[in-house]
Amino acid sequence: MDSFCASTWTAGCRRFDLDLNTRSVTLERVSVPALEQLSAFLIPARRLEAKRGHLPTPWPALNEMLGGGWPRGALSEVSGPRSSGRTSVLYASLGAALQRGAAAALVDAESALDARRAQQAGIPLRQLLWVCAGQSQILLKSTELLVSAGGFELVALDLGDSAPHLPTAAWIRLRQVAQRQGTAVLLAARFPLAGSFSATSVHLQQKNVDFGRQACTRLRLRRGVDDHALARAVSHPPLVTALSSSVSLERGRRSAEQAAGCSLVFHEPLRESARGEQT
Amino acid sequence: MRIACAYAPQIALQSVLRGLTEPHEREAPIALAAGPGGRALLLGLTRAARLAGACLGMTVTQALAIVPSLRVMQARQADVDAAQAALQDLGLSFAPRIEAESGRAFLQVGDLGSLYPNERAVAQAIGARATQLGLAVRVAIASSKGLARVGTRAGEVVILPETEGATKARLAGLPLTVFDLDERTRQAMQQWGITTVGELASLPGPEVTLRLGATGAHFHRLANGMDNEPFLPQPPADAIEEGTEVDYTIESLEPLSFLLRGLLDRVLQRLACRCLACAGLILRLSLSPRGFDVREIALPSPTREASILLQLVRLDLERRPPDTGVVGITVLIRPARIRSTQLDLFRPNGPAPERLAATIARLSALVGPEHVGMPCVVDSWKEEVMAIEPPMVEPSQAKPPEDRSDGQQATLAMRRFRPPRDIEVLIGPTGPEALRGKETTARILVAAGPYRMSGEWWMGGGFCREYWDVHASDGALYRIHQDRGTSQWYLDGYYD
Repeated sequence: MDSFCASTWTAGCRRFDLDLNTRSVTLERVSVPALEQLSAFLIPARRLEAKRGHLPTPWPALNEMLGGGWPRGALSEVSGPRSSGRTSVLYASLGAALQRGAAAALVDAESALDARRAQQAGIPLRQLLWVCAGQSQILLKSTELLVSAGGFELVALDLGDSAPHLPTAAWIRLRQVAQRQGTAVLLAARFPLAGSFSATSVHLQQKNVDFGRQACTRLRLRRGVDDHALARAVSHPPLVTALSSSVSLERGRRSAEQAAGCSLVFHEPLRESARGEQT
Repeated sequence: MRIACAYAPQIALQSVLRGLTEPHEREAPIALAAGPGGRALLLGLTRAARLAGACLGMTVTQALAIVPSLRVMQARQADVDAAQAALQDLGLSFAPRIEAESGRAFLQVGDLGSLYPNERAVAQAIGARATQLGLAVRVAIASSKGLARVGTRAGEVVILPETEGATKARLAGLPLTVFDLDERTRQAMQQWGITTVGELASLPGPEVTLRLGATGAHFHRLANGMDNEPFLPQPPADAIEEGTEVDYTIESLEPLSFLLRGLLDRVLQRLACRCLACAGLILRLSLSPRGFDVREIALPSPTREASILLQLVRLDLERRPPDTGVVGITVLIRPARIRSTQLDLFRPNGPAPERLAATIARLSALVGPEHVGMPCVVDSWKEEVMAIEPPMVEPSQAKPPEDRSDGQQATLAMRRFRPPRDIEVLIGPTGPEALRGKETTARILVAAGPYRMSGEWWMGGGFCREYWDVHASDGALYRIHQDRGTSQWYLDGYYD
């Protein structure tokens, strides 16, 4: 027996024996004094998770809030209504993982990926494995298959606007597979779906939307001018320039030092001006 | 030059026994018949059948009367060919230059001294490898091909010395049956009272040649430890094929998988002999009552894992089952070298190519192959157009990590509706004021646009659109456009 560790401090009536030679874990009830004697060998679950590591996001503020990023070997969740920025967070996390050279996959429920914008978001498309699965059962099954393959650092599950009722067993299985493979599973949905099965859950809410100056131009010229004059006046994309969102940590707060929320700003990339006819 | 000869006696019977997957089946009394029906003659017998009382030359009816539990089987040419090819692979697992003839494989073993302590160890290793391939062989090592062939008739493992004199002395005590004598020579030897090799060697050579011709001279030379038969190496086969046929019709996947597993195990063992892996697989199913179903299973990466191959074949069969029942299976493997991958010290390891290939195959079976792959940007003037390419399973050569620590230039993503949804838009004096569709019905708080885009008119079927970004009362930022040709409004997606 090389060492001992426990999954949590609160399970005071149980002892976990981890034999590193045979990689077997035995569980038996122990008395509280015995637990106190073992306390020198026990490792808090918090430290175990820290040892497993996190997958950082591109935003330092979000990383700080999450304790380093999305936890590896666990299920994380990003939720928010339409135009709250959850998809931007998802794609940026994928891009960050892929730019590090890690393997990542996206399971897309609605085939909503915009390849041009994903490329602009820093996702090397030729390294992204994209799976378009429609039904909810197939979604989780596909995610589980990808995680089971091993080697993926991040598997993102984009449920879009759908809020399917997924069986509890599927979540348990997915969490266990992620834990075994050390893969960070990131779920993006309109509402929190995984509940207590997710280690971290953040909720995004839209704060502000910035439109470009051409929008004001349009509004000024709109009155009393014909359509051609209006079209001539509008020449420079983008139409929406930025979107800011507030992020709140719904689940997974580790310590009082960690912030419970932060703000994120997403910018609209400049559209290729050579494309199309701009009148 | 030292030549080893691996001899598989009764190769037709052995080819039948190779097809039996369970070990206890091989222990049962089995006979090989020349054809169907009770009057067919027995051509081969296992040891258990001989001990039970069956003899070669009996009819099937006679043998069954003596041994009721006798299992009578027939050898198919495909099975015999596969066993012969396996014998060649056995030779190729020890030497790059081999020569094969019916039931035998000759290989050069003179340079294996650094791997094995002596020639007997080489011969034993050849026998052990043959057992893995499902063959029982006799091995002899001699200085020439003819002498090695004679040695395989003398015992299970025979090592003949290098010098002629020592070889002659070694062969002297053996009976003449170690030579494959023709009928005329055998009768002559019987008349002369010659029963051993040593007695044949003691005869004067010119006199033997005078009476028995070139054949007699050849056997006389062999008896004296001399042989000049040349060793003619043959190139290995490009593909490895194994097949089996059944007497009944297979309608479901499970029994088919059972047979496939056995075939794949045999094929992969042969590949392992040649230090190769499977780079592609062609499955040919013989259908009942006639016809074939040929399908190619693509493998992104060479593999030697039977479970992965079986999984891919099963998925393909599940996705596209054969039209009728199956009465025969042939597996054709395209061999390739296993590509070694140099991992990067500074990058995380990705998924193993073989496992990723199997995962992609399973995903393809689950959601359809057109829904799994790499997204790619299409050179089109329509911004929503994209495509999906088959995924890569080889480790990617990504660029070094970029510094994005500022966190302020995160890109705003857009979720596309595919295809764009039809909507109705209420136009007011200041532009779009409300939209209504399946996805949403809302007032428009802020509308920015239009951004007119047209193109592809030079290709025919061009388009002209006016794009608007609208902030709706449901909180979402939608991208809508109006087709200038039809005046129809569409909801492209929303920023998220």
